[in-house]
Amino acid sequence: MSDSLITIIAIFLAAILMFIFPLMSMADRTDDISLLAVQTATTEFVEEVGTTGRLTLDDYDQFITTLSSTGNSYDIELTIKHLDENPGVKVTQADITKIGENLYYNEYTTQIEEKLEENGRVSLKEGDIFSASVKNTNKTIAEMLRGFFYSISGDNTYQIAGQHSATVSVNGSSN
Amino acid sequence: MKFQYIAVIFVIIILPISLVIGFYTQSQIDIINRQTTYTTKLNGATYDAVKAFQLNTTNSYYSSVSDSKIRDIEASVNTFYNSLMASLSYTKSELQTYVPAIVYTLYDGYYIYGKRYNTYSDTQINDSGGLIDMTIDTQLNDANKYEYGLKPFVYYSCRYFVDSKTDFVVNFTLDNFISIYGNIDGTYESLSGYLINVDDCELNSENKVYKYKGSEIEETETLKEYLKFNNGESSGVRDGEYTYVVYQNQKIYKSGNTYFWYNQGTAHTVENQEIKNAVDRQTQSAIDYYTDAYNFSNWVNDKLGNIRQENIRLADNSRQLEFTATEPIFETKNQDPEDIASTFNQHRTAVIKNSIISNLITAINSYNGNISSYEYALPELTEEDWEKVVNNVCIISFMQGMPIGGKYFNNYVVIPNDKNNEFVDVDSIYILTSDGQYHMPNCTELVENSAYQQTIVGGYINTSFEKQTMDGSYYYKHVQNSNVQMPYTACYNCIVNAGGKYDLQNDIFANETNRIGSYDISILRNSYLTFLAREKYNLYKTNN
Repeated sequence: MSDSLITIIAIFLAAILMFIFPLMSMADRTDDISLLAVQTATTEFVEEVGTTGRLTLDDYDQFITTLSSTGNSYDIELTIKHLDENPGVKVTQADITKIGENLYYNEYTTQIEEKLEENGRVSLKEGDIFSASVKNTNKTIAEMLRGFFYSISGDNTYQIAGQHSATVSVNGSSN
Repeated sequence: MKFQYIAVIFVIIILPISLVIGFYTQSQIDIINRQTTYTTKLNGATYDAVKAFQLNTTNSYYSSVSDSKIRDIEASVNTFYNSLMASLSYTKSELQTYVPAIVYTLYDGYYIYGKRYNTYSDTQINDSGGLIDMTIDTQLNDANKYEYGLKPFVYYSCRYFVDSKTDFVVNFTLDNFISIYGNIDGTYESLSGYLINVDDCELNSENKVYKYKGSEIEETETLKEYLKFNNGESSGVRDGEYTYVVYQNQKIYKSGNTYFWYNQGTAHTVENQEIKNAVDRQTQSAIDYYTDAYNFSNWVNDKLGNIRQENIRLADNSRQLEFTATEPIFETKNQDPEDIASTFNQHRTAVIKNSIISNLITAINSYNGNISSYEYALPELTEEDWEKVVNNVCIISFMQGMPIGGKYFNNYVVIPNDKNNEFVDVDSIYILTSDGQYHMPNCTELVENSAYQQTIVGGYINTSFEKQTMDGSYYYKHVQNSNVQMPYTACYNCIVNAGGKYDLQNDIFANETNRIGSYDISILRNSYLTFLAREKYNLYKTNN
C-alpha cells in the first residue's frame, strides 16, 4: 500500500521535474530573449527617430514586424511631446527673458498613427521628446505556467515590456 | 531502475544545464543592455558637442574663419568629453583611449580629431637668433610627440585629368557650390560659384536673371534686424530695429543718416561713401546670386561639360576605380545640379564619402590605444547615416574597445547640425507673415491659402531666429513690434508641430508649375526662392 503511494508520488514528482520544470525554464528563457529583442528594437526605433527627427511609416511598420517576430502580440504606445518655445504663449504676461519655462504639448498613438497614414511621415523638431512603450497583451507560455502553479493573475500583468524615450537632436528634414 | 532514480539522474543532468543556460542568457542580456546604454550616452555626448558647436558658431558671424572655427571645434570636443565623463565616470585620458576619432564634417571639408604626430620642429629660433633645443626644453621627444588634436583640414576634393593642358582640382561642398583650380585648356584658372541649371534661368534686358524655375525673383528687398546695445546706446544709435545690407561680407546697418556695423553690443560708424550708397540701394543679393550662378554655370558647362568620372586621377596619376560612370558630371544644360538624383549630385556624394572613408580608415587603423588586445577598425556606416553626412554639417563620433563584460563596445553616432552659419540648406529658411508668425516654406496654411501668402513680409535663415544674449538679458533679431520687442512666434502648423503634408524639395523648391493640385503657390515660391538665394549669397565664405 505505502509502496504504491510512494510510486504515485514519485511519478508526479518525476513528471514535474521532467516536463514542467524544463518547460518553465525554457519558457522563461524564451521570454528573456523576447524581452531583449523588444527592448533593443524599441531603443533602436526611438533613437533613430531622435537622431533623424523623422518618424516614417516604413520605420514604424518595420518596428511592428520586429516585435511580432517574437511571437507575441503587443500594445504599442507612442508619445510625442512637442516643444513650444514661443514666448508669450507660455505665460500670460509675455516675458521673453525667462528660459526654461517651455511648454510641451502631447500627441498620442492614435493621433500619430493618423498622421502617418495620411502623410507617410511625421517630422519632429529639435527639442521635441519622442517615446515609445511596448507591453505584451497575450499570455506567454511562461506566464500561463506560472499562473497555473502560483496562481498569479490579473489583467495588468505583463511579462515583456520595453520603453525608451529620446530628445530629438535635429529638425526633421521636410523632404 | 526505479522512477525515483531516473528522476534524480535527470535532475542531475538538467539542473546544471538549465543554470548555465540561464546565466549565459542573463550575461548576454546584460551585455546588450550595457551596449544600448553606452550608445545612448555616446549619442547624448555627441549631441552636447553639436549644441556647443551650434552655440559658439551661430553667435559669431566670423565663425567660418578658420582660426575661429578651430577654436569652436576644440571647445566642442571638450564638451563631448565632459559629457561622457559625467555619464560614464571615466577620466578624460581614459576615455580618449576608447575614442579613436571624432569627425567634424563642415561645408567644404572636414576635420578629424584624434591622435596625431606633432611635427613641430625639434629646434626653434629664439628672439636673438639662436637655436633652442625643443627636445630638452619642452620634453618633445618622440614618444610624447603623439598628442590628441585636430588633424589638418581635408577638402572634399577630386582631381580630373584630360591631357597635359587640362588638369585641375574641384572642391565640392554640401550644396551646389564648387571651387575649381588648375589648368583648363592650357590656362590656369581659379574660380568658384554655384552650379544651377542654366535652362531654368530667364534673363532681362540687363542680362540679369529675373526668373528661375518659373518664379520671378524679387529685385530689391528691405532687410531688417533688431539690435541691442551695451547700456542701450552706442555712437548715438539706440536699441531698435534697423535696415541692413551685407556689403563685402559685413552687415552694414542704417539709422537715419548714421551708417554702422555692429559687434558685441557696439555700433561702429561707417564714413565711406561707397558703402553708404550700397546700403541706400538696398539689397539685390537674390538677383546677384542667380546671375553669378548663371554665368558660372555657363562657363563650367562650356569648359568642363565633357569631364566624366573616368577622368578622375589620384596624385600619382593612377585611376580611381570606384569612379567608373560615364555621364558628364559638370553639364549644366540638361541636368539640374540641385536635383538630388542628378549626376553632379551623385558624384558629389561619392567624392565626399570616398574622401571621409579613406581618411577615417587611416586614422582609426593607426590608432594605438592602451588596450593591446583590441584592434581598432572603422565600422560600416549605414546608408541613412551617409545621407546625413553628405547633406549636413555633422559630428561623427566613434567609441571602440571599451570592455562591456566578455565583449568590446564598438559603435558610432552621427548627429547632424542644422543650425549653423556654414551653409544655407533648402530647409533652413523661415518665412515671416504680417500676423507675427514665422513658417516653414511648406507650411500647410501658407500653401493652401494664397491670400495668406500675400501677407509674407520677409524670410531669413533659421539661425537668425535664435535667442540672442546681451548683458544677461535676451532679445530676438526679428520683431513684430520694435517698441515692445515682441518677437515673431513659431507657427503651430509647421514649426512647433511639423505637419509633413507637403514636401519642401519636390512640391515647393523644384516644382516649376507654381501649383500643388488646385492650390496656387506662386507668391510663396517667388518669395522662398528669393530668400534662399539672398541668404546663400550673403553667407560668409572663406573661399569665395
